[in-house]
Amino acid sequence: MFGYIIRRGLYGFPILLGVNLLLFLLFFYVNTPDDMAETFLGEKHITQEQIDNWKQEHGYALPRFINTAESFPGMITQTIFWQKSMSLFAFRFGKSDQDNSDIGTEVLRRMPYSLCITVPVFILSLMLNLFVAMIVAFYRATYIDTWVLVLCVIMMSISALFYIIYGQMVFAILLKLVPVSGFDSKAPYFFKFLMLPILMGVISSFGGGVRYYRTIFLEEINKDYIRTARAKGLGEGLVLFKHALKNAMLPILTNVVVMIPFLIMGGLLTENFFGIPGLGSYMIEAISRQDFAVLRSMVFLGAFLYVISLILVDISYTMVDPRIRLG
Amino acid sequence: MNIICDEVKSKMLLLMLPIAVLFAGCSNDPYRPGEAAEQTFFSSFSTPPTKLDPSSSYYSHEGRIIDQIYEPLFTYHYLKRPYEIIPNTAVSLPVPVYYDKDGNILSEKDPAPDSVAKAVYTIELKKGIMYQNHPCFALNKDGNPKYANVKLKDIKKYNYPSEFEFQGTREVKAHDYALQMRRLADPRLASPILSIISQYISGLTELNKAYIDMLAAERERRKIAAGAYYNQERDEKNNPIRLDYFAPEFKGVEVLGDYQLKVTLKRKYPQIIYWMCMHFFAAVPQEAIDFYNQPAMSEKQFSLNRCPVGSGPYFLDKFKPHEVIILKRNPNYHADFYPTEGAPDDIEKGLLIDAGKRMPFIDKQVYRMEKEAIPGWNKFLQGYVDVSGIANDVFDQAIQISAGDGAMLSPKMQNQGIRLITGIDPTLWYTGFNMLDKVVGGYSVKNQKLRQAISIVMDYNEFLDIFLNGRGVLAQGPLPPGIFGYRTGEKGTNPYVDKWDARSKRHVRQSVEKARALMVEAGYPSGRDKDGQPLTLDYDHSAGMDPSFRSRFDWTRGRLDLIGIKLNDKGTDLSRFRQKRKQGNWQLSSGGWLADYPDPENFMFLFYGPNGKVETGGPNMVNYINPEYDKLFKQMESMANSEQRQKIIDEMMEIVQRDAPAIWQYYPVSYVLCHKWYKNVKPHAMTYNTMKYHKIDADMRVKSQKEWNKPIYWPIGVLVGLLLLGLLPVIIVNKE
Repeated sequence: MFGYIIRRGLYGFPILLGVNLLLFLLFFYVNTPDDMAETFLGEKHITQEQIDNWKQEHGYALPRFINTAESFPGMITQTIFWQKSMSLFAFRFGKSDQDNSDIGTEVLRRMPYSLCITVPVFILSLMLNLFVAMIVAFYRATYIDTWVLVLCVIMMSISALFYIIYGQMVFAILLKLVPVSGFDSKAPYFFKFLMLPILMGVISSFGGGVRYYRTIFLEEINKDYIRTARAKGLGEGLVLFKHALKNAMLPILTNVVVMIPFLIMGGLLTENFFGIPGLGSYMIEAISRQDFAVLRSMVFLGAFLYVISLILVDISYTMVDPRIRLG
Repeated sequence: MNIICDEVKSKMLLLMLPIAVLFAGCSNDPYRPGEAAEQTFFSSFSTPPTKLDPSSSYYSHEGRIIDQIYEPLFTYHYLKRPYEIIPNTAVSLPVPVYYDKDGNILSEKDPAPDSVAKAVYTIELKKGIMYQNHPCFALNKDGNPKYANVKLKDIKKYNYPSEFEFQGTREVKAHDYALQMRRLADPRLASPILSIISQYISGLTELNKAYIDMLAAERERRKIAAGAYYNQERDEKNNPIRLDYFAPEFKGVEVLGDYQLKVTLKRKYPQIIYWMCMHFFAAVPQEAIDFYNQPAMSEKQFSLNRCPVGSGPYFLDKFKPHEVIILKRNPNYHADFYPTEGAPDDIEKGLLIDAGKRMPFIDKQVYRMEKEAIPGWNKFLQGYVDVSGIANDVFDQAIQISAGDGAMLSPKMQNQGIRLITGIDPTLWYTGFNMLDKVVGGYSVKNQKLRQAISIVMDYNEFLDIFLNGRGVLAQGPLPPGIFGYRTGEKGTNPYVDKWDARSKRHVRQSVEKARALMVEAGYPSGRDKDGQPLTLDYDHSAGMDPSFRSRFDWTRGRLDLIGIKLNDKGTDLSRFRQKRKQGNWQLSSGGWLADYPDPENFMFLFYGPNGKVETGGPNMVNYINPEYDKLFKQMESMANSEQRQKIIDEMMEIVQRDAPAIWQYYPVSYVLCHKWYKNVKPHAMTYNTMKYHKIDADMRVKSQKEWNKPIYWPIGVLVGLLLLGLLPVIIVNKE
């Protein structure tokens, strides 16, 4: 398996390189360092000299791909591509163009905020959705199944933003039970700020989750081994939660593990509306401030986590299905 | 089957119980217990401040923070209008001494600009002004800095300089001001005012060049030592370059003693005093620069950009720009008293109740990040935020417009004791005509008439009503109200485009018929040229991503259609848009200008020929050149406010109104809502150091918050009941 992981890791490298190259072209050709300088210096009182100084101070005064003024390896290393893009492979994200803060430090600082929301939402939704999906699958073709499906379709059709805004209106404004938004990183005060975003996260993922898992369970519940289990006299709880669930793990795992990057990268909408200073919020800030150094780093980090999570999916298959061997 | 039913029931109960428990005992109070009862001001911010260094910080959301920490030499009177400059850390306002080219002192008080070869300001500083407590001032027994050459492991536990074990302070001296003025020339700090003030302060351009050379030499040395893998950013993070600011000669600012400073200008420029009211001219201690210039500090992200060191009424206690910013009262703040006089109606408004009392009144300020307007607004209504603006979406909830009284608070707001404070911002919005364009530009009478016709048909009173809930005043020219030279009422009417409506006491656009007549005179009857082709113009912008843009553009297009002009949407990305402006490759485009200081020069220079965007990259976006206007501008630029200056401004206004290089849109009006417990609030458009004047009645706040935010629990019980009821079908099906 170790060899397989190494091989998959190496396969991931060209993907990341491609992402990196694409990012570089987008950020340094479509939007030139001069444009970046103008954005950051503002348009009120700005001279070409100031633009040149800004580029010098932020390391954008170098040639983009090849530095003909240098001999090898300087002709490669003394370029923007090497210093700004290739350094991402070493997780050296550099400094924010906007405030000179260290991007790596900022990512580590904000990650726990995102995880505070995404992990509980992920775990609670998974448990609730699996449980309800199993019940619905069990009562398939009854009016329970029909009405739950109708409810799911309705819930899926509603935008996540609706849940957030109405959640705030009902629980924070009308009932006055939780703060509308905000965050306090000190325990136990942070707890009251998490309740509403978590609840809304669970509710908004309910419709889609239940429908997806129901389909998986319906496939399993009609199989011979389930009939055999029942014929042996096993209780329905045991049949569903032990046998059916275990055999449905493969598609469930695929769905679950690919969620990892999204857990870490945070929720853009949730964090923005609830004022949670996580990585989703960091991305939004970077977009609105046109902080390309942060955006480059975040996109690269997202791509890296996605490659890793796909490897993890493969590994997890071997754990739940002994028939699968990675070679 | 019954087993499943029990399982289902018990699991649902298990799920519901924690939800019910979680909500019980909760409240919507976003603060820690007891916080509201303290002398604390609560507010929010939507854009995190990125630059708190007084050399680089330029935006209002940053000014709100650092203007309370740093003290410039002069400031504005809090209550008096028009704005009046008063000494802050200086003893008095300096009287400039003017010299001619032979070095002789000019005897006139306000000499002609051409006769002045040098202007010298000698500034006397107040004694006994102390810096805030900070570890950079902490000393060992031998008198050396306690935290010099500090290692990361020694400071790892600290999240902010205010947490350091050893703190110290010292008196503010003239040297600190001289240091800060030199720092403006440091290329690493990219000071936004350098290009402006280096035109006036002697030797500043040369100083900037000297610093660039010093940095380049040091970087070259380091690059040679590091070899091909030299990375400037990483290298300077691990080993920041210490620039000896006082090494190059700089005649612009000289220290004459501990409390005396001499500033020398290359020419007459009375506006320098306005710049000296800003944080760019505050005192910065060398100790702070040395303290932050250590690798360990860089690793901890401690820098002047994030952790300012000043002598103002407050110091920054906590700076988490993505979460919360906390300022606390500076215990070393010098004696400073609330003004005893103000504008005529200030007594009536209760703004002089605290006259003569020592400031600041508030102990702590808490700013929490609030990205979206609606949650922030709801917190204000709940009493958890002391002050709020009014977003467009909630305007009707807050304000009622009545025919006689204008804007009034809604009854709900009035019942809560909320106060509405309005003020016209010293800001101009306009749509420029590119004067280099052969269709809309040019200086012929026909082209003038075309621009005037377009200006008339663009009725910005209608625009304000539709898009901004009437929050603005129709602009008559480049000068907004509150700036010397602005004429109110009928006298200030732009005769080519507007007229004075005595009934509503406001300016209104002239009729569309007048615009159509002007179109005929301009050679475009019914909006068609001599070949019968419809006149089609391009509107350039980079606002395509702005959700409100489309409806505004449609409105513009609809208005121009009234005189037969077709309008093309030439939206593009920001960099291409800038490029177009630089090259003068556009026809119509919008712009705005927020005053740097309350002087007409700061607005009139937007149309001064030598400031043309294409020619010099200056702020004259429309590339307007009128020799007559330029001549008058040079006369007016450095004059003291006087009847003579007013006369020149009137002439200049007449010229730009006639030439119409822009559609004068509006001057925005700001609406601020304050809770009844938040006192001494008077909007000030020129400075952000006003928190020291404000006051909080914490008892009233706590009482109101309790009254307005009683939690309602019963719907949770109903919700749990309904969910349990949802189990009923399961039980029924199970039995069937």
